[in-house]
Amino acid sequence: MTLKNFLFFFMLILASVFFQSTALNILVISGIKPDLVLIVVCYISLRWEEEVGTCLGFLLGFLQDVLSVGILGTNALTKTLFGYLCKKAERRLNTRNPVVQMLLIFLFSLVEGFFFLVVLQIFHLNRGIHETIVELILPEAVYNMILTPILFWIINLLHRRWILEDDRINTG
Amino acid sequence: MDLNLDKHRSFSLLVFFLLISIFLIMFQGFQGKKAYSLLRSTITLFSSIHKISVSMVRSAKLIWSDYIALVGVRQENKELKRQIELLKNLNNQYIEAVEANKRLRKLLDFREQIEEPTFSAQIIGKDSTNWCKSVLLDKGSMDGVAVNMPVVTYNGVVGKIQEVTNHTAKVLLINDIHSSVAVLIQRSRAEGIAAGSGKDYCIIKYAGKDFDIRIGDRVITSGIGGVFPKGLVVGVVSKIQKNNYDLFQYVEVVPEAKISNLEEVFIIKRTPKF
Repeated sequence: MTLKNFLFFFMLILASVFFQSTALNILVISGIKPDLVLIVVCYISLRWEEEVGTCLGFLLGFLQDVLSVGILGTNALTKTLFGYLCKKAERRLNTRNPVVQMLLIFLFSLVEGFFFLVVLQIFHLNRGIHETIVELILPEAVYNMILTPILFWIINLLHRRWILEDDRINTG
Repeated sequence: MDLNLDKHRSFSLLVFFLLISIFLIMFQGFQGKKAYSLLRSTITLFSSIHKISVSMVRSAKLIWSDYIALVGVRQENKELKRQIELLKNLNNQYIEAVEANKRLRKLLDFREQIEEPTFSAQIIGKDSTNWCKSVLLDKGSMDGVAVNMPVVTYNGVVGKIQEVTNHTAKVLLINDIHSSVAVLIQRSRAEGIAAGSGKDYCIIKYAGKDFDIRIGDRVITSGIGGVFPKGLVVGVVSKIQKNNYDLFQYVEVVPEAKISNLEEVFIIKRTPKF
């Protein structure tokens, strides 16, 4: 991993967290915003070593928790798990296939949604279960799934240009 | 052997981070707001980067809107001049109405609403999840912000201060599921609790079936909770449902403040009375 590569991923991480909590209004559809952090965690996890995905998942999830009024630790827990599982899935599935990537994100979004719902019930923050599944968990999972190939394509494109630019400078 | 070590290392890392996360969840559950002090430094650290990114986004928006404004500006100028003339007339009528209102108030011995000091704050961040409704402000305890201070816009109630650091404050919006505000219907004086639904509207809890509530009724704060002063506009009743088997009617209220598009808010400097 070159320094330039590292810088690219570092900026990607920062951009995902701050875009998620500042300018994401333009991506809101019917009150639902996508979880860019989840998609970025999976992207980096698939392209880096196993430990990186896990650590990064925790760090980004924790940041999401800190910037929210929700229950601290919930995003940190799910993103850690997904960062780890994404790399594990690479051994059994063809994670380069966009359909597989979409299905992974869809599944992770569902798991995350159900986990949040259980935590809310534990803390007695009543929210209609059926209503939450239909109006929040499912739409968000579908939205994340649809956005995955687009976002993966954009990040790949930016990354390729970044590297090419680097090579062009090096070769004179 | 090396592979096994690697496998154990990554699994240990996973368990370690999962345990930290579970501890954080449990800690918050048992300690409540005490967990908050743990986060002050983290929020402070990231809020400065937040401020920079927000100002960059706003500058980009400004450049865009200024450019768009130049297109057809002559035609718009003519239209605006015509509107100014119209508004001048309306303004005269308005001044007359205000004067009449003042006289009537004195006549009826209405008590003037207590005006408490307010100060403005910019929104520098929004909740990153779909599960909570909150915003991050660029004012903190150094500016005099304290927990439970009401946050409003010109249109109505936005929420209350939930957490404060030196230079930032988190606002729990009125449509968050954790939020509840004591309210009354302005027309019929029927009381209830406006609870957040997690969506774009609030639900009035404990509104008895016999309460006189109609669609379009204005909902204001009752002042009973001690956080919000009496008489602030919360929203307008948008939906009512009555079920034969329920003690209460189901009432939805759409907040008057445009909560999803907030950029600037006002914090009312007042100590909660409870």
